[in-house]
Amino acid sequence: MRKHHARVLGLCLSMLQDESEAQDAAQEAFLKAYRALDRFDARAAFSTWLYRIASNQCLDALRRRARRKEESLDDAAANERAPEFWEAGRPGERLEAADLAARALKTLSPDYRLVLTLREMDGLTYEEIASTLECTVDAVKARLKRARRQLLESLRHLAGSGSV
Amino acid sequence: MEHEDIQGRLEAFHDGELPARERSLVEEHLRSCADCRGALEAWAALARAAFPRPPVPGRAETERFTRAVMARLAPAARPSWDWAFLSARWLVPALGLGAAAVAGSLILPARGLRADLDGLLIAEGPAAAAAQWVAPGGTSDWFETQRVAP
Repeated sequence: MRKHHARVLGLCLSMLQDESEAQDAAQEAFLKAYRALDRFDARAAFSTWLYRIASNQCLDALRRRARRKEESLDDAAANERAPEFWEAGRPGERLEAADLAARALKTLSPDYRLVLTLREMDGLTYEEIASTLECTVDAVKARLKRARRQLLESLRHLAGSGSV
Repeated sequence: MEHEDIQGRLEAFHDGELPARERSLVEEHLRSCADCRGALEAWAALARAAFPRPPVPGRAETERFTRAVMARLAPAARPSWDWAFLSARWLVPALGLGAAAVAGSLILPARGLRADLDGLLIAEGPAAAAAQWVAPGGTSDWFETQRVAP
């Protein structure tokens, strides 16, 4: 537990952006891992397996939060063309503000938020992300592409609505 | 490699997932293309803002966390009744007293019976002595034999 505490808690903090919720999620992840130890078959590394449990715990927490309708995208943005990765640096667009980025992140679906967190915060490779999410590398690439487009779209919407 | 081909590889380049040869081609392109360079730098800045590395918990925090998880595990890990009472200091003396009480209740009444049996054993042998254990009603239950006759 001591060995994996920092990494699991870091994932939960990054995903949930709430200290109390992150602590609960991290505790639940370790409890679930302990109770499911007899089902760990060592096909993946223990840390990957534990991270998978923690990821699912965060996804469940975010989905519960979404069901309570605390955060949602503005429907008006739904019809706009989503920007591509290489359009991130268009002149005149201020996309660097940390608060703007954090608010845009909150509008992402839990699955997109997770894949971006694993890649950008945790620095996992495509293989490691695929192992954690139990999907293929191609699926990871596709999900990252869509997640980045959605994040850029949210940023553009927030910046354009004068919410800076 | 064409500009559009490079654009399609920028994400993988940012993620460090391009094979060496393709990475070299992208790096060469970036030296002369401000658009692609700007996009990469903008995304890197966005990623740093949106996904800052959380602080590493200190040792004390990790210990508190570990204790909290173990405390939540403890009730489920325990058996349905608490074996801890078997280690109580009072238990051994209590068992001893109880054993003594049971032994006393067996020995004292048996003294009178033994006097009779000893005499019978000496006079007529083990079979006759054993037959005395059978109460008048035919039961061989020792407790029945102790019933006081009205």
